[in-house]
Amino acid sequence: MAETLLDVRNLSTAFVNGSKKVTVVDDVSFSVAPGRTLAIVGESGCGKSILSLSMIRLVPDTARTVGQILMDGEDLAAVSPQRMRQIRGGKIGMIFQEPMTSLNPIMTVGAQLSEALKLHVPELNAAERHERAVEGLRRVRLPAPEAQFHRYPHELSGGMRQRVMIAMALSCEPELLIADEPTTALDVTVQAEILALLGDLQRDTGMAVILITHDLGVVAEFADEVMVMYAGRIVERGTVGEILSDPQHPYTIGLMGSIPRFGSDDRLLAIEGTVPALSAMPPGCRFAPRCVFAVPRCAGESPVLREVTAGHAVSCHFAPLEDNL
Amino acid sequence: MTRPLLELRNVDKVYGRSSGLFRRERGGTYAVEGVNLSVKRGETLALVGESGCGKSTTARLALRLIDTSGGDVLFDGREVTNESGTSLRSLRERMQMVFQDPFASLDPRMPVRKIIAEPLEVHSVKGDHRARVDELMSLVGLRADHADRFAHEFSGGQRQRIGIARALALNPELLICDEPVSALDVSIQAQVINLLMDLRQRLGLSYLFISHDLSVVRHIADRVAVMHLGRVIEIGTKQQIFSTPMHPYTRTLLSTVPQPDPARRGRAVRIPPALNVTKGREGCLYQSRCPLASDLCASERPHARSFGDGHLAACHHAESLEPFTLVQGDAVLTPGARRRFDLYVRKRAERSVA
Amino acid sequence: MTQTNTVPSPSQRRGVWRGMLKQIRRPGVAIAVAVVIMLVAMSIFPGLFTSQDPNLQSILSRLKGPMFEDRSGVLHVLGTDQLGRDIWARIVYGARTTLIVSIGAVLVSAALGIFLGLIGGYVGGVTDAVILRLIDMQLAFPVILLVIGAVAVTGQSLAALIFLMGLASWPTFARVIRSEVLTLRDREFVEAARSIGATQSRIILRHIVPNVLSVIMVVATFELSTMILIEATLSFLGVGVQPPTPTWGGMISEGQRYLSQAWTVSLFPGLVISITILAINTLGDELRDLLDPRLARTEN
Repeated sequence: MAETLLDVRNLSTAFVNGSKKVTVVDDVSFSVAPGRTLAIVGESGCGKSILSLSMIRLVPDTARTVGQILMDGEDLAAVSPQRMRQIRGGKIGMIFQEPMTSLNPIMTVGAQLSEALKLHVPELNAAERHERAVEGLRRVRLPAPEAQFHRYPHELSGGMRQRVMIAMALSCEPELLIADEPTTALDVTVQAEILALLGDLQRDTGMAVILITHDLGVVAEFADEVMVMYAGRIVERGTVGEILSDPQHPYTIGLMGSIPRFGSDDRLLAIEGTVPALSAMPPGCRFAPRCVFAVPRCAGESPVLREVTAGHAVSCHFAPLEDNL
Repeated sequence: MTRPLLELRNVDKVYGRSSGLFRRERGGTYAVEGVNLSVKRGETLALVGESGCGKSTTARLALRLIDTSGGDVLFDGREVTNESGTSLRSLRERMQMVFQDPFASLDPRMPVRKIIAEPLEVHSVKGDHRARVDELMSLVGLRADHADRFAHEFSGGQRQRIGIARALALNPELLICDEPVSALDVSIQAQVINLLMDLRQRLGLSYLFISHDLSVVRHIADRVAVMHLGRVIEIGTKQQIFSTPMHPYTRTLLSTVPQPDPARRGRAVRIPPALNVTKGREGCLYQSRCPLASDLCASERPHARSFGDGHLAACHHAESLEPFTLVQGDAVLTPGARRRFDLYVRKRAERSVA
Repeated sequence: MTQTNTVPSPSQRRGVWRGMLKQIRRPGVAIAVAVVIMLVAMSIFPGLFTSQDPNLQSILSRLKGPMFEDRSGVLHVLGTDQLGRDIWARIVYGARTTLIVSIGAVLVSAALGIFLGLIGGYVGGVTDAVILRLIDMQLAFPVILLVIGAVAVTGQSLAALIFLMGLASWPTFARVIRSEVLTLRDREFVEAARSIGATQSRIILRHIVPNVLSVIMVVATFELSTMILIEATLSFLGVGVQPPTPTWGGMISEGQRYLSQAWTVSLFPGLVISITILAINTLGDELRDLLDPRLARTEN
């Protein structure tokens, strides 16, 4: 597909503390096409949240980001802070895991929606803003949107709050939606609803979605392309079918083996060990200390991300494993 | 049949029914209503449901961390509800709890050795506490020479192991696990589930296992109880619950779990959210979400009916349910991937031997 | 996002004293420690710091500025007060009374406030309601007025003053501790302690108290400064420590009448109070951090 909306090239983010430098996102490149969903999969500490924050330049001040973030011919890494503010909430919408902490507890839902509109569509008058805010709430299938408009976040259930967050993120018709674990805090029954809603909205608006999650079930339900991250690096990238039916990287295989009910063995095929601390990254392949296939070469030499089939790239010296080991 | 290790008979928990100076008449919110459960020796009973369904409250009622508003809790035939002081403490020696949040459930001011040894101190257990802590730590897969560190120096999975070691210190017979893996990453989750299953086998433990994650439950449980708005609506063996669920809510829960198979996209069943029922608890509480709801459901509370060998479901229309096929499974693996997985399993086994 | 560091070297395990020694290398902390040591030394061995009598009056050398040398050749480094007494000597001799009164009062109010705060927060219910009402009543009643009234009844003695000042300011402790305990009580680790069968007193002493310790430290240092100021006010009103016994607060209030002629009379004791409070607050902060294992500095 030639058309790309967002093209991230060689993005790295490091936290600098005095003389110490901790690289959280290490040389990550990817692109997203309009109307498509890219899922970034990984466990805590893999850098997926910092990566998404780096894209919209919301990382803490102690972080340094290098690389290019091209969107519509603009390099987001280089635009002015004012322009970045316009883009955030304008061309790029965001939703987060815990909607309660992302909403202001002392403002009504309607007031918060109107505020977002005021910032990004200043030409609207108060009545138009109100109308669009209610329309936004209706669009996320919130029951009785007129009534919800005047309610406070704590009066809503978790699922309803997440709908409000989605309404806010979509109020300015973004071209890209970044959803960071949008359903992790929700019940499965509500999760199914929210995912279906996001899917419908994506079809209607043609926006691209970057979905950050640790749940392969959610990935299967929603994603087109998948990027698996481990310890700040991309370890595998491909379409959702390729990743789930033909996982190549030992980490991806391990993740699938860790899900209860996979495999015949009564014991789960857990990945032993823990994600290395950011300040103590192993040299070479970062997964090597936990990898059952690891050989001395892995600790000495960082594997490069290379394609095993067109579009399906793996960062392992031995992929495909069954032929090379 | 021997008597169950833990038994809940018609247990209620009502909040906000004031019994103070200005006594309010009735009212209050039912967190748990008329719950009947039992955990047999050596068995794992899983308690599942959405957040707010009363499953954590039930766990705390069983341990008597909170008091019941009605009904009886029996541990090994003895009433937990009436015990107090020393006899309650001696009961607590025999049932222990593992908490959900490994970050919040360990005192940040105590070194791990003291955290794990605390039950021994509290119950004045004689003997070498130091050696016992070392033993417990290696039992749960922690290095004993880390015992002088504080909880914040450990990762989430390691902290949960510390919590498990503490719960095992007194050699309990029953472990009540309240969402023990839901705060953990997938790969760490698997480690802890394996640990819990190993421990059950080695120590002959029984579990009351609370979880919202049906895949985890399916993996670890012998029997499953499904809760909805404070009531147990279905209970049965794992086989019964997962292959022939007799309550529409159980079916919905089973079908909403997203499966790691893109071919099944969009199959997840969608139901309206649960309403918070504070009053008007007549009739079936699931009726507002249920496609089968009828006038009968509105007027009469469905009671648990038997559908064979210990399989109980509380639904008026259980008989009119269609045959059930569980949407499940993973994406079909390519032949290469299949070989890769076999290789992975083999290598993994070799490593753990070495 | 930050993955917990799981591999700290075992040798760097705590030890508040070792930590303290390490922190002393920081200039701010070193100065604070030096100030406090000097204050303690002053209150025990005032003779080491000045050779003059704090109560020796001299009408001829009243209200002189710093570095004043009187007729007998004695140098008054900080000048003299309205009765011609040496200000430095009075500051040195005043340290003991000032510190005894303020520290004593803080201890009394801490003991009472912590006790009631713990009980109210942990037990809750009617007990808590009663304690809350007590706090409100106490707060609604001006501390100064209370002490004046009480001193009128009990008569003036150092012990009575300490006790009354402490009694009058326990609500600050009680309120802060109570609210802290309220949030701690529902934390999972407290529930975990209950689930293993720990008794209430054990939970309070082993789990709650260590976790409110840092708050106690902060409130105590803050209260110490308040106490020094209250003592000054009481002295000014004539119900504090009685003259001629020097106290810092008393010196300020006595000097106040002569501000236009000799502002140094009030200035120097005021400066000493500020330095003392600053030093104590610095140490309090430092101690709070050292007592918190989460904030323990991990680098060697």
